[in-house]
Amino acid sequence: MLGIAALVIFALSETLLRSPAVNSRLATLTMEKRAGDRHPMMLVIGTRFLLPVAMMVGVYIYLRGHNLPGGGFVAGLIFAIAYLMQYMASGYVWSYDRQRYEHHALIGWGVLIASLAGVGAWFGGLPFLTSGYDYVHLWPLEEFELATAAIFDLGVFLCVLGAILLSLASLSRMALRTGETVNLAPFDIDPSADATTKGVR
Amino acid sequence: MELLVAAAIGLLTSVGIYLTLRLRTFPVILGLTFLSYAVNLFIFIAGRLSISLPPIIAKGASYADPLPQALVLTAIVISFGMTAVMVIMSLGAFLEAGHDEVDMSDDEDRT
Amino acid sequence: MSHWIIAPVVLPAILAGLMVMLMRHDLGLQRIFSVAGVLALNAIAGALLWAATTAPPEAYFLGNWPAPFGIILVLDRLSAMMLMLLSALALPVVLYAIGSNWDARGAHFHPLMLFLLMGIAGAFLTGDAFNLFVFFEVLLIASYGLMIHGGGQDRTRAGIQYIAFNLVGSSLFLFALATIYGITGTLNMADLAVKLPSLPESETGLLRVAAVLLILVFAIKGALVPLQFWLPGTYANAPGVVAALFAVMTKVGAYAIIRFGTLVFPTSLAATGPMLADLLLPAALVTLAVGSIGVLGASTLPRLVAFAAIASMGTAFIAIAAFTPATMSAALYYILHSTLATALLFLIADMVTRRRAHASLRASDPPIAGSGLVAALFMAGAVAMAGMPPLSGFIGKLLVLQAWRDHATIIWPAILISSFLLILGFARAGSLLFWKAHALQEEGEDRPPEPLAFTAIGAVVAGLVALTLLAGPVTGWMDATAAALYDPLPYVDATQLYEDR
Repeated sequence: MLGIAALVIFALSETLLRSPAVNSRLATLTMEKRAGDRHPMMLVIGTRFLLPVAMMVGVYIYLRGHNLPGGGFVAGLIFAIAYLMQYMASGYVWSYDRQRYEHHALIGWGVLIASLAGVGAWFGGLPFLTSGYDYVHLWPLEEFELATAAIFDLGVFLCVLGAILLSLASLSRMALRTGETVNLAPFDIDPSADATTKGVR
Repeated sequence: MELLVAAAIGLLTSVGIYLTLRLRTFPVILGLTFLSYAVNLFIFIAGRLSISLPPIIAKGASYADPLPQALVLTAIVISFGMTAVMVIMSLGAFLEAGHDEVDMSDDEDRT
Repeated sequence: MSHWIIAPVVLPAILAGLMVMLMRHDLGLQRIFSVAGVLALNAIAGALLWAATTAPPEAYFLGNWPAPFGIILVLDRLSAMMLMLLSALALPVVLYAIGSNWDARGAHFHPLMLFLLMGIAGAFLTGDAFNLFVFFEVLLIASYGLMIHGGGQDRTRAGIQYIAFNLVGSSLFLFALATIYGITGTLNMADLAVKLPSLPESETGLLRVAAVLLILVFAIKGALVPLQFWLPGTYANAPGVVAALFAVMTKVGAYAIIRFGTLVFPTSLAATGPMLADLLLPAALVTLAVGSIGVLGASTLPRLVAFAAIASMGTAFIAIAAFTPATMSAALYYILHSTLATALLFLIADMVTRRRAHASLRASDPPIAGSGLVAALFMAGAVAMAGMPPLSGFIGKLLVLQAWRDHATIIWPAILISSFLLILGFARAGSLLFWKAHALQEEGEDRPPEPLAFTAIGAVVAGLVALTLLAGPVTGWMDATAAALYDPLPYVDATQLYEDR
């Protein structure tokens, strides 16, 4: 669901960016002058530490989701926040350059895994995932559900993560056209060199 | 408690409807968001109000209805996606048209 | 239990996921997979249609949860028929999109279209009211993406109105569902059908409110006056090929009203009684009037077709509003016909508009490339839509008239006069587009021929012709379907409510 929304958003921003009228109007919308410390070092360093921590929390939430509040959706949101902190700290371009996968692929994988998890149940009586959980299951067919539900949840997780990142990336690309400056270094003051280039892209 | 929840739903709905009928897109989006909050609350209490009860059937104990909670979760996810699409659509419409009014003037309609 | 029931939902999802993941930059591959997927969907729908015809309704229990708790899909004759209609329409639409290069004008045309198919198929199949909402949202969100496909100022701004209108509709839907859940404690349609007759007297008021809210929502989808405002702007501004696919979207509203009106709120139900029919019939008559007058006044060809679509929905709803087996059979036949006819006209309108400098019906232009063939196709579409012999529109309207012959004083004149107005409107548009164009003595610019697009349109025409030629067997099948709708016991039995399995 969210994945489709993100695809819609991406498709729209793509067409928008192609339209000359939009580009000329975007160019007139100049950002007010930013402060010099848009990417302060403390924030950048802090988010670097928080990234693995937030991911751990995300995995934890994902794993506990079968019996307690949590699950793929929330875990996807937490992962997305972990990434978004990098965006906020170091800027979209810098973060995007360091990304090894594409958001589209995430959504695609998500939808695919979730549907295949459903299809897997077609072959009924599937051996259930060896479960480390020793809870008393009150509902019928709990063990069976657990196995497929976890895979399905993984699909949901990927879909949510990809959808959020893709929609915000679409917005960022639009913002870049307004002449927002771009830095290619992680933070404003680079001790080693003057890598802060302006106006690229 | 019932009165409080009912009043909250009523208030959210009326705010939502009022804002939805505005001319500019931003209030319209806010209004739709308020409407979705109201409806989420409404679904939630459709399973009856209950305080600190387990969400699943426990032996011999009363329990809170779990289904509305699942329904609310689904509704929240859906309204989240819809709002995101609406926001970017209105941004696009603003960029294309140069103003953010919801209605279409006649000459645009006639092209 | 046949697993194929869920296939129309899962197959498009998997294909769309694959497309987004692997062939995002390869339109050629996307096209191949899209066509293959729609062909497979046709095969599945055909098999399901056969299964539904020969066997009683069948339920599919998602996650193997028993009926009132889990989500179920139910295949019966009506859902199988709508599914077949959907996939049969999707094929020419995809071919036309490829042939006319519409799919190259923006990102993600094919995945979004597959998601739309998934949403509509799910809405037809589901046996759970909340699940119906979810599938509505899936098809809506995909339709937003398709609607603004290709971009442009008018399209985007029309899209905003469309989204806002439908978001309000979704909120209403949720309010209605929550009310029903609050009263009955279930949202499973079969379970509702079992539980509602024994509802205590004190709850009937709430139930009526919920029923009216639901009908309002479906009326928004079905473009029933006074909730039709979104349709002309949306359909006229959407890409023609998308508008053709949307022709089946209004039928989702009609389907939902039929389903709820026969299964959940039948006329025999004491709480609601004939309320639905009383509300629907006047609205349908006004819809018909608005649609046919709009055809006369439309300023562009797509708007003209959009208003014709409204008029056809009006006719369909007139037939539905009687809620008797005989009229339901006529309604089903008319729904089949009007979906194809509307789609055909939108495709032709798109073809004409793309070949002219502007879409306006106020000024003549040089003749368009290939105008002879296009004019002939337009003629066929107009004949079908207006309900003139020899095409299926005539039979459809005849069936509706016959079904209503006991109340001929209002309904017959309404339908006949509206048909006349439609003929006038189409004749005016056709003469302006194709005859007056020749008076200008100018040569239109040449365009590369689009054999695939013409094939697609030809396929729709062939569908209409087949519907006409096979009218006898088809109406017989519809009679059986309508009878099945009014005997909900097999449907309820299929869901195995509260049975120990």
